[in-house]
Amino acid sequence: MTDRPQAPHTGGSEAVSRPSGCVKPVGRFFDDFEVSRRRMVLLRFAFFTLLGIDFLWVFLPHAPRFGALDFNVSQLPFLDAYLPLPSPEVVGALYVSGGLLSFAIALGAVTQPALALLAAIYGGVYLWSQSDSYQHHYLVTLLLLLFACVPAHLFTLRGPDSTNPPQPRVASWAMRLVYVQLGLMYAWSAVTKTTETWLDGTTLQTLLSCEARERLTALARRLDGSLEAGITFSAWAVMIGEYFGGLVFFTRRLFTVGLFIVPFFHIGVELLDFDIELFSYYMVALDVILLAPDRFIDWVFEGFSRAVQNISPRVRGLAGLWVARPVDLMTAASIAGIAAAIAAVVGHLLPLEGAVHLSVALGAVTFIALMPTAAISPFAHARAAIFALVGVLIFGTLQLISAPYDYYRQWAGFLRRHGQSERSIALYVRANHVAGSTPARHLQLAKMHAAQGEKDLALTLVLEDVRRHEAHIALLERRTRTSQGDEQDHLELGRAQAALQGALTFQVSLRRQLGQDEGLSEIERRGQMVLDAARAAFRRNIELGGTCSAGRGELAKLTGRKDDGE
Amino acid sequence: MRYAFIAAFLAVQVLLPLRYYAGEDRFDERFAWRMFSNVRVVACQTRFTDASDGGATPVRASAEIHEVWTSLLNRARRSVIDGFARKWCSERSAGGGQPVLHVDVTCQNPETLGQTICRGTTTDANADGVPDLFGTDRRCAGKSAADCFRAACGEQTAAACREALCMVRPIAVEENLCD
Repeated sequence: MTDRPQAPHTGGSEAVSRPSGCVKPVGRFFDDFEVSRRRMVLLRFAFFTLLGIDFLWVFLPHAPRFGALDFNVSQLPFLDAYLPLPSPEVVGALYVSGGLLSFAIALGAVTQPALALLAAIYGGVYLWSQSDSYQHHYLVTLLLLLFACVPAHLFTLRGPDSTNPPQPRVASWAMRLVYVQLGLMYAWSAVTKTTETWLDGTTLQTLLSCEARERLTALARRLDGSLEAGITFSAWAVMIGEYFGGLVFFTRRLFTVGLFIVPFFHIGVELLDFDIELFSYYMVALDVILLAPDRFIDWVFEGFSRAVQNISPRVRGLAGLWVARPVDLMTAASIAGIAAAIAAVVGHLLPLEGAVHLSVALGAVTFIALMPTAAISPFAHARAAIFALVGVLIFGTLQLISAPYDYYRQWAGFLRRHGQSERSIALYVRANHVAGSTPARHLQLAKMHAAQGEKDLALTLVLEDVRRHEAHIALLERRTRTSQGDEQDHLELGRAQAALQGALTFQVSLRRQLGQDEGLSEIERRGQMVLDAARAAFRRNIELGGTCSAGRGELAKLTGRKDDGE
Repeated sequence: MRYAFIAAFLAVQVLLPLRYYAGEDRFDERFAWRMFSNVRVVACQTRFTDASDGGATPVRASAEIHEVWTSLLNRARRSVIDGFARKWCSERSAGGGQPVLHVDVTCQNPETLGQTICRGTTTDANADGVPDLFGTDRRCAGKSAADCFRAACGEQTAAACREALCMVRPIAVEENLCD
């Protein structure tokens, strides 16, 4: 990478108008900034893959909070009077569409409309509501805005058309602005820490989790120091390092030095268990890819090329022949239309509320992203194939991961707490349906039906809950026997046993109400055994986990349960 | 055109954080890149009171909005407090009458978090009027606990000193949010 003042390669897509007068050096600072295509491809792959994960794994379960109880405040509250209330269905559809676009771009289906649309979706939802207002969402919004200003072909090894060989390095004012943005972010973050409460370690002490405190104490002991001194030193180091980080992104000569300093803040943040979603991963990826020397980027690419060479030449030849074949406008538009129709069908089948919203959103973003922008489209087949592949993968993934279950579970739980029983029951049914064979929320559903007087149905559900918990506990017991030392397994086992005891207690109460008194003492005896087993599992968790073990809190929760032995 | 975009982008990135530092609302840190700030770690208590009938009935905000908003209320986010007030007041006005909603927001003072009197509790086991913390805090090294306490609080009691030094009220209690 270089910012030397030579005639820039624009890749043929940008007509560069030159500034004059006093604006000239500033103009050159932005216009002459070159970046290698290989770096841009790595950036595309890492950043947009993380974004896809963010959309589907992290954001999707948050969709139900949007517009809950008809309340919302946008990031720009003066717009609230004009903005419609967000809804879980619409936000959920936007998140899945964002996931589709992100993964497709990461895999190479990068077009200008796709970049712009993704920026609009992410930024739009961010600005629409303060309910997800971590500062890194603001950063990602700004980065997506800037990436939408980078000509799409710069994110690929291809040129703007298939006829001229591409320049390996390209000038991009928007990429310079990305560097400037990151520099400003580090600098402002350092200003935040230039206070007495940060520098004496008070703020950092407050942020530390119990586990992180234990780890740091152990480290300080090994280094013959105190925890307080270590924290004060870290606070100063972070502040100085962030000022330096601000400088690094403005000064090419410091890139390599910065590479060995700046990413370590974010690695430290992860090691200290600060819960800020995927922010550290984004920042480590951005810092490493944007600051690494060209030699490192080339080394990564050459390794990748060697791996590709090992794929059968016949397969590569066929794929290359098909995907690179240019097609005319009508054919490209037809391909976009067919892909959009398939995406719409996939949207309808996804295990989420708002099938119509999902269909329309996925169909529309697919069509817009694949829309031909010139009379001849050289990569229409390839891009459509990538969209199809990503669509199928998202469909499959959403059947396997817990995001749809969390989405329904959280939504249903919120409505239950606010007395909206009918809707809550419907959502608990969906949660249990997508949860597969896990215990899920049968007990909660049983309690809601019982409250409505449907006691037979409630008993059926509670029996199902007991059956599933028993199967789950058997699995966990096997796991704790094979991994004696894992505190987490014992914690999970204790929680499952405590939940089973709760289900058995509720079963007894229901049977009494139904006049089914036979065998109740046996169920109660089992409940007591399970409760004792849960206590034993939590005690084992405490033995293995020490001061910070979560078993301590869990054991306290069991205090007061029937026949409490504590 | 692109220079206008660049200029606007840079202006926003410089002016929005400056606006935070120049402004009065230190609890709304959005757009100011204040990661891991002292404000982020302070605890606030936001209490709404319905004074429509001249009384002071507590309003349970958590019963009317999602938990995520309650947590923003408890971080003294003014725009969310105003948003909640708009919702509450419009719902009550729809039923007739003149709603009156007060809010009392009390937060730890982010600037004094590290001061001894503001850390931990004011437990005074030996009842000498000096909180026990002053006997163990490293900031008091080289001084007696009583001298250290007097240097921070003067002649005030521990409770009064704590209230004056460690707490702030970002929003006035008297203000009717429905106006």
